[in-house]
Amino acid sequence: MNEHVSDEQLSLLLDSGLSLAAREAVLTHVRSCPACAERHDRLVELTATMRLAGGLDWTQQHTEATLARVRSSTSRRPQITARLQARDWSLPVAATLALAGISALFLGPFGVGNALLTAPASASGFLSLALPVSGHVVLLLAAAVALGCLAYPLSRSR
Amino acid sequence: MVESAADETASAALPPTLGGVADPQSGQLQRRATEAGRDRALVARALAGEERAFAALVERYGQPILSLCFASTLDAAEAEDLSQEIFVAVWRNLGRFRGESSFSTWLFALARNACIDRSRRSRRRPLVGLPEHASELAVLEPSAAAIDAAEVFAAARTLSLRLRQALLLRDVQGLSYEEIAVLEDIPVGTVRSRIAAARAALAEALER
Ligand SMILES: [Zn+2]
Repeated sequence: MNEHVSDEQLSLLLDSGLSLAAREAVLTHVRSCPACAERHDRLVELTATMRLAGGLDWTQQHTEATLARVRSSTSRRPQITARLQARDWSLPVAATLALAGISALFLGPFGVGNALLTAPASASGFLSLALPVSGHVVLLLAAAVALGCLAYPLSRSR
Repeated sequence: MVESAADETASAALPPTLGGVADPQSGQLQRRATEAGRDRALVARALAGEERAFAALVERYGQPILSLCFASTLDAAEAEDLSQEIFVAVWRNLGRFRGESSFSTWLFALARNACIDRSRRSRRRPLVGLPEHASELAVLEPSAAAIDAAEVFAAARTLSLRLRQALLLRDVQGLSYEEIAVLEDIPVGTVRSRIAAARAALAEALER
């Protein structure tokens, strides 16, 4: 090996990442080349220093501190998110049903219910009574749909 | 809750790709699938409100996350804080994990982004000094190595985040090339070149 040893070869030599043949070739060059020998020794020193310094170990205390922080930062949020994601349409459907219920209550005594009681049996009479009511119904349905449309992306983006 | 997490983790050993045991490839793939299934079950239970299932995930992945955080920040206290922050984010966003990838892939991506964010933020404020435990070590082991550990850590701070993470995961946290590849979601060849480049850059920086 006449060319100098590459950074990667030197690095792999330290980590025992070379094949036997490659290792032998690199070592032969390093022994005969003062420049590469110096690079090699420098890297050995460097890695030895860092390995001696050592890293951090995860302990039970870390787990406890993390869980305490999780508990204090939020409560039960994942379940809410999961529910929304599992059934994305639940919120708009619920909103629509709620609005339908309210509209039924509102229209029952004063609108449709009342009107039907006093309505003549003929179809034309029923239609004439239903027409003023249909304005409210359309308005309420539109509101329900709008709320559903608003609620759907909200539930998706959580 | 914390006490009861122990029995969860006893059976849920560290993923083979992060525990340093190199299995034959088929066995490794099978084990990875088993680990992924076990993680998914823990996630489902955590989402159902079972805190000890989340505790088991924290115990299981605490070490690789802390290693990544320390390799990014070079500061013990900051790394601990960041790793806690990451798990809080995991807890908050657990519902977003849809199981398309393995939980570890999802978690490591989240952790890498958190490290990048923290690194950007810390670049905006002046460096406070050397990592505490490096200076401590320099005092405790003055003759153990010809190069001062504090000096090495100071020089490592000047490396790019990618090089710094690869180098410290290898030389300080003691991860294998394969483990770093999983944690960083890069090919082993890239890990090799990053470590080599980081070591060369560090050696050059210390020579000056
Ligand atoms: Zn040479």
